[in-house]
Amino acid sequence: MTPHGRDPQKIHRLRIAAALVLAGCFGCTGKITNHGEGTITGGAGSGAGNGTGGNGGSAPGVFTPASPALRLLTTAQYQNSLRALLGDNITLPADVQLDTVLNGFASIGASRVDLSPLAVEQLETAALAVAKQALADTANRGTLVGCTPAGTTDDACARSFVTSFGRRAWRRPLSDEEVTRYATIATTAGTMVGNFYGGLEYALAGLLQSPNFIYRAEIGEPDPQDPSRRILNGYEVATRLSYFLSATTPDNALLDAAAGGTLATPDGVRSAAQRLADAPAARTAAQSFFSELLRLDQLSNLSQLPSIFPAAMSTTLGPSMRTETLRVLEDVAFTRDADYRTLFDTTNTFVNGELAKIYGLTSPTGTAFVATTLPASGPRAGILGQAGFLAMTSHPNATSPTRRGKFIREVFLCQSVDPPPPDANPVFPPDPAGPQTMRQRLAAHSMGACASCHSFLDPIGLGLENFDGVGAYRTDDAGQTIDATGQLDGQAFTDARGLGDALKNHPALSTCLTRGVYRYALGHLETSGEDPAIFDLNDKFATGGYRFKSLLLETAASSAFRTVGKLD
Amino acid sequence: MRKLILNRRTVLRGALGGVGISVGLPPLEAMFNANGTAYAQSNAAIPKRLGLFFWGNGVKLDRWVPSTTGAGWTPSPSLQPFATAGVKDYVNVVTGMNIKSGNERGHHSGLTGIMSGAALIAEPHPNSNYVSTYSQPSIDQVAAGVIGTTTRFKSLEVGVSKKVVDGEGTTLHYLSHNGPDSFNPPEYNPVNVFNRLFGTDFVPPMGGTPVVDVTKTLRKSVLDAVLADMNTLKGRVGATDKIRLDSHMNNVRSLENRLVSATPTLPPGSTACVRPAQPTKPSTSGGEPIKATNKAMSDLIAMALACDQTRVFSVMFSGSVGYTVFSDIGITTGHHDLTHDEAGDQPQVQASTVYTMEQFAVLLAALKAIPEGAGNLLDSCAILASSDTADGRDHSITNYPILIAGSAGGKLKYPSVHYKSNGENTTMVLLSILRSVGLSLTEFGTGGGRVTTSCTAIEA
Repeated sequence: MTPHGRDPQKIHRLRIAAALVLAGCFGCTGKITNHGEGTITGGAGSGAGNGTGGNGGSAPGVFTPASPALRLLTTAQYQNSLRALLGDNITLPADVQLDTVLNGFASIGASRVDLSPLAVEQLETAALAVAKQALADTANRGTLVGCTPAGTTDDACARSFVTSFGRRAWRRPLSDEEVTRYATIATTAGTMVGNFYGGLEYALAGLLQSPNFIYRAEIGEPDPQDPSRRILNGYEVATRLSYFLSATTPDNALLDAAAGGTLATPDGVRSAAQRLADAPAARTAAQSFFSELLRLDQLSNLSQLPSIFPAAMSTTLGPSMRTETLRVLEDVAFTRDADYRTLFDTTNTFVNGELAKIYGLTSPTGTAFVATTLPASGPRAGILGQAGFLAMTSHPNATSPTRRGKFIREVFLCQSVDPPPPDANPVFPPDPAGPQTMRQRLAAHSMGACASCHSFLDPIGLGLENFDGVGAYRTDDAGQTIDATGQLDGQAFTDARGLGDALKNHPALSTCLTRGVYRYALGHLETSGEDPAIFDLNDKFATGGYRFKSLLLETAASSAFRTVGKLD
Repeated sequence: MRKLILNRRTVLRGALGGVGISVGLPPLEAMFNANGTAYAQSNAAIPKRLGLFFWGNGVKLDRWVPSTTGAGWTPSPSLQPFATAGVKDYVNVVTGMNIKSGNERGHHSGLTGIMSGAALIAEPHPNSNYVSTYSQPSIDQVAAGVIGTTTRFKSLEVGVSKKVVDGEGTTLHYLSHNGPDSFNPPEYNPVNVFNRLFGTDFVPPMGGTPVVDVTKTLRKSVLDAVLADMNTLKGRVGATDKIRLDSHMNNVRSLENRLVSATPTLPPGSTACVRPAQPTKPSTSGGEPIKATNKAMSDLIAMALACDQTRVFSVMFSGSVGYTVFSDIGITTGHHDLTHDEAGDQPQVQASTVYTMEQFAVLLAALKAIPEGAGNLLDSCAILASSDTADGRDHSITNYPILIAGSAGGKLKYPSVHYKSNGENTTMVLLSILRSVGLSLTEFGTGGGRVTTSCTAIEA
């Protein structure tokens, strides 16, 4: 077996043509931990916790919020915000790249990294460009500016624009000093360029480069009842709600609600959240959340060799796979508003021609996606039967049960897997007498020190061996009937659908999704002090029938959503 | 694994590796001569330039290490491209040294070790792959803090292959770092690099009175307002965010300085500065256009140095753990997979190394082609070229593959030598390179990566 490669998509590489003998797979301590079941801090990763498959029930302890951090807008949030502020027909600067993904989410990186020199330049260039566009648009600038200038300069009109546009752009009212700061720029610039709108461009460009636009400050005020925490103000809550549920800047109704004080109560927040969650933008925002959670960007870089999968591989296949998975998620979470766990056993899907071929369906045949029902008692159901999941957890020329098991552990159960020892360098064994199935090749993983980790991973992935490296169904491997039996934390199964059921009923499943939503919404890895909030949310998620929209609303309405810790 | 109760910013406080951090200064009045047209440096010498060239996933050592040492070394198969390109005399080879800042994680540790002489910082990853960031600045930023303070750009970062890993933290995602979670991302599109360097804001260096540009004045006033906003915000946030805002504000000030700085004059003997033609974005049909991108970037770097737009640059040629597919040479597997999967003595991996060195040679040839003073631009450069492991298959960090290109204005050996060390600390090379471009350092590196002696074998 080749040594464990360290890239993010794969655990280790398997030599396909040879039987496997592991020599010296030492040091693999085999710790699997359920994140958050004990007192694991956000920073400990593997190596702590009780290592059992416990359920996500409430843990004792008081919710302790994390210190606030300035949150940069992500690239998508930045672009959506510009569209909301300046109109849909604005041409967006493609060159602004603000994202650094950390722990799977751009919103987590946005709370940690420094804004780079290159990004500062890109933001300046972009701000000047969109300002020029918006104010050159004679048809629409009247609405944008909100007043007609009396001449080359018009301080009152400039102030009025800065006040009203600034409130939208900065997601809060501007102070007099701030209005003066930018209105003065407009007047000075108007004089120098000899044109009101030409001058206003600079004020507008400035408002869009200000830290009050680029960062989301979630600072709040000290809680009078508890000085160790701070309560976010209405505008900060409005901003969190809008970027969480709609991936864009708060609209006027939300800002008005903030001004009116209705976002200070859980009911007020819930009502506002309901409005946002019912809007079309919520579906798009949720799809980008799921795309990050499920690591779907890997589908842009599938490595399957056309020589092994000639019928299937094309440059459009990965994106098609991604679309299928996201549309099924949207269907479960929004259209049907169904139990999230049906993601693992549903036979409803959306396929186009190239996916239908992989699934052995005779239709559809074109490029359009069509709602399709898979055979009710067929081998394929749920996300574990989707080509996207199956392909991105495979090697260029074979399946990878280990990777599939690792993905399920990490992504669906929030379990961490210790890395292989850095110096693992097993000796290549001699070729076997005849062809071996993947199960036979992996049998060597159950020997010696390697077993402690691989016994948690391989038995899961082996349950999916009826699906090849692009997700097509097969009965045989290396001339032998595939044995897809296994167990997931004590739950036995005989095939992929059985594995899907075991996963659907796994006690750690819903807490893991709750964690994902929490991290995405708050923009940081939860600390151990926040686990009580997560367990509480999971309880509410269950009570709400495991409906994803319900989880979104409960998260928005929670006190964790409105509270931050002391400044560091 | 370290727990994260880490004020990563504490790492930056105080001196770093013996050098105080400087913030880029605007050109000050005192720098100019009586006419206000020339930097009044006493001997007006040709400036030194420092560069980085990084490729991912190591080499095959048996075909990398030259069989002879000293001057007149015989090129190994992997280093033959330098002889072919006529730049072998400029490429010093160091082998046999070891990364000593730790090997906590394959690829990550080698990378921070060779680029910063320091260990990585592990970051939390509760249910995903390993995440790390740098604990110290990469040496391009260490140098830029001293030699990058008078040029229009403190430093220039470019990338060639986009197939980099962005899911394991900043260490693998970016090359040039200022410190933990603070980085200078490479630009992968030559058109964007051109627009930054030679677009509408470019002022060709020449004598004469600077022209006042109304647009630039207005842009600066906008940035002043932005800075005022940032100062106000700074008063309201916690300690970590104050430092993030400081970094942002420094970057805004650097942008301002570029708008108002007087027209620089070139060092004497530098006549090659000419605004180049705008490159076209290389076509991506048929895979990544590695050769075309590398060539375009090499030409842009050469002219950027010739026009003294910057004196520090870095090239992220391919990513650490990256999945570049070298289709030009008939490879169909991503590079990291290849280094682990290819059988036997890995001829495809070897071919990819040769190909990579050919592309590095293109950069060196582009620098060498720029006349400067009595010689050429490469004469004044010190360029570190290395990888994130020694052998990619086993993640080793001993017998590390290191090249130092350029003669740094006579401070590095020319014609080049092959120095075969007996297990010394790789940071010695970093100390040599930094000293060769003018930093007065008695030591460099931290922890196991710290050294107080340099690699004298490559010093003139």
